[in-house]
Amino acid sequence: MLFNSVIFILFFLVVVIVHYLPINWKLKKIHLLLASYFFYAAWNPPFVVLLWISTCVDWVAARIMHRQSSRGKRKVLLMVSLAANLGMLSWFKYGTLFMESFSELVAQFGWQWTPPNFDITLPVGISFYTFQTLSYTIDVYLKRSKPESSFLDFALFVTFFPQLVAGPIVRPNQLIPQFKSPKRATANQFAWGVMLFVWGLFQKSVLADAILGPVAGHAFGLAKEMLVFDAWFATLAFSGQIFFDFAGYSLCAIGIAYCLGFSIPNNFNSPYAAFGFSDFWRRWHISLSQWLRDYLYIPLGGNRKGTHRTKINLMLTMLLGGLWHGAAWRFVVWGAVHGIYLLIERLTFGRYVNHGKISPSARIGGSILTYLAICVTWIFFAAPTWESCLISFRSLIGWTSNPIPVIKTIEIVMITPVIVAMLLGHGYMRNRKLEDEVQRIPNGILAAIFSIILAVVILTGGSDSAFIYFQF
Amino acid sequence: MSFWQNHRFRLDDQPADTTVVFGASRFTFGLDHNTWEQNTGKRPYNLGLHGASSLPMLHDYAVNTEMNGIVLCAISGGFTFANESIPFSERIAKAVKDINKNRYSFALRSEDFTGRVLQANFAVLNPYLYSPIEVLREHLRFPPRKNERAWFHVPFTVHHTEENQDIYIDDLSDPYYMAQWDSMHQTVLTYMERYDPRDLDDAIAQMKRDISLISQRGGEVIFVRFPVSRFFKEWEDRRFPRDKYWDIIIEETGCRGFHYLDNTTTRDLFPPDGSHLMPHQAKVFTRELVKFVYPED
Repeated sequence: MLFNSVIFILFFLVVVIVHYLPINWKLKKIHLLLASYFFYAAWNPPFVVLLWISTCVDWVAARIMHRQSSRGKRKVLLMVSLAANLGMLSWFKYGTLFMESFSELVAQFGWQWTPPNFDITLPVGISFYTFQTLSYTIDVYLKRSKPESSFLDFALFVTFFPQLVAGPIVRPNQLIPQFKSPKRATANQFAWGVMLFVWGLFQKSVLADAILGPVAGHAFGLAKEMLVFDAWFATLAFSGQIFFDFAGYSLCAIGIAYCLGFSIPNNFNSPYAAFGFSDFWRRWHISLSQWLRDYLYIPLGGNRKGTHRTKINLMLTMLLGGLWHGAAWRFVVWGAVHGIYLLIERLTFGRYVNHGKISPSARIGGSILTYLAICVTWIFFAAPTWESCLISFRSLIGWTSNPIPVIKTIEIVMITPVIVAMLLGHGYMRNRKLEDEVQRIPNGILAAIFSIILAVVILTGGSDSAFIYFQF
Repeated sequence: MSFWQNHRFRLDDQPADTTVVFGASRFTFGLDHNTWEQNTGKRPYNLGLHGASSLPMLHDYAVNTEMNGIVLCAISGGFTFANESIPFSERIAKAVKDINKNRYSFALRSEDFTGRVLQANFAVLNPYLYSPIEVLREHLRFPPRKNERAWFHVPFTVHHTEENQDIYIDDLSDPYYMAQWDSMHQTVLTYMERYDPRDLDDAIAQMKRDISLISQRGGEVIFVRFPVSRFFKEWEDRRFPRDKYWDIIIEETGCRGFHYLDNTTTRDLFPPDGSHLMPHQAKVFTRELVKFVYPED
């Protein structure tokens, strides 16, 4: 069920009421676990079995692994966990892509093979909970942590509904310790949680879905040569759409967790104010960036094995990070472009990026250039086909023969302030915390702003479209 | 698409001989349900969806139901044979493909229930009329840009009644609205020119299989061609000429077909926006369609 649906609000009300009943903590955790399974099964009931498989395999593998002193046996158990989790992910998410790509590949050598039509449905959020539970097994394998003693706490860690289907990807040490003692939000925490939830809904339902999404979706979906202005405008609109969609969802998740007395780490930190590409990845989808760093880049050797190997490790990490985002080669290319960006930064201006003596104007200019370079890469996300990608890139530089306007004037009028406000907001919030800034606003004004936002969210209504990041 | 899927699920609760309607917006705007009911004693079940092809709907009806009533299936050139890469064509194909998977989705079913309850009791929750974003789009008026092929917002000329089954357009006398509709339709045609249509032979082969299943259980499929005008007619006549599409479909499938040009009354109906009948025209068209479907009455 979507956060921006009435049924979720009803579900959440029931969960909150039960959570604050005077019952013991274990029962409350069982209730949260059952609610999380219900939340997941509400979408497509059979897929809840995947969650159970993931939970049971990693629970058993980690416990046996911990008792083994033989490195070989520990490795076998890790492989079992990886095979089970990545196997499910590969089949459900990449099965069709791999089979079709294989078919096209062998056709180059004159062998005709038609892949079977398995009609695979992607289970919601599988990329998120797979990575989350893998981090647990890998940590135990690397002896960074001991296996969890409570199956209930571990199952709740894998399944906790606020961040189950679209992140943030939470580490075991961030969430499991919170299950050890009774949690309830204070009045202030609860109010803050509600505010974050509503602000997240506003970003998702109003800004991403109602204002930015239709325009960007059309401009890239039409796949016709656009005027240079329209191509850039659509690209900027998509940059806003994908940010508000995902950051909005993350805020909802964080807000919901707050209302229940839990804390989930922030997933976005004004990414479009980033100065350089490594700074961008410290601010965009932070939980994924850190996961890839800790469980892929560093185990590959990171930057400890020489310059040449560092470049390879970086590119591999970004390529796989790209593939994580979607079952299409466009996402891999997107990852490759980001890898190249990072390499260029590392080899050229990287040493100046964190230099404290950069003038404010140079920093602003650098941030704008970073933002524009990032925007261009979003085309691999926004355009549904390679042809559309190519046409969009050509349109950006005016390499067209018969370009047309694809955006209505009214949309330009409505979107411009949204994009400008987003960029100014990111610039302002670059080194600030939302909580601190909100606390400085007088309560009356805050209540008025909150009421207006809530009213706009309600009037704009739910949407038929699922969160963009649900597909990842 | 959850609205359409839920509406489709409710079809399973209808009597087996219910008359079912498949097509795009021409059917949703162009069929007057009250007129049909007054003339036949039964209300048709309209699964028409704007921009959608009727073919996936027909296939779903054939393989996923046991119904045996009359099926009115729109043939509208571009929409019916639209490439499934076009967003408004892809969504119906996906919705139909996922029908059985989503049948037991509590989230989908409950969203429909709560949405219907809330919207039936709180008019303000209709986002098409009261969303601040839509209100802005409606009231900040700008003329279309030259050669614009933009994403479209449906102007406030569309009205819904009775759980969205009777949808009609009015007030096209306002040149601004007419310009908006023209711009929207030009964009739709651009999409359909951009992507090659489905292969006709494949489509007919599938239709024949579906029609055979429906016929075996006592149902009948009747094809319907709605009136078109202006640039829409010119475009469809050029891209989907009658002798290469409609006539072949009727001949190959052996089904009855109601083409508006074959009827002395409906041939003169002129949709002002090029593609959709106005409410008074829909009544005329529906009466003639009833006469065709039930000739003995």
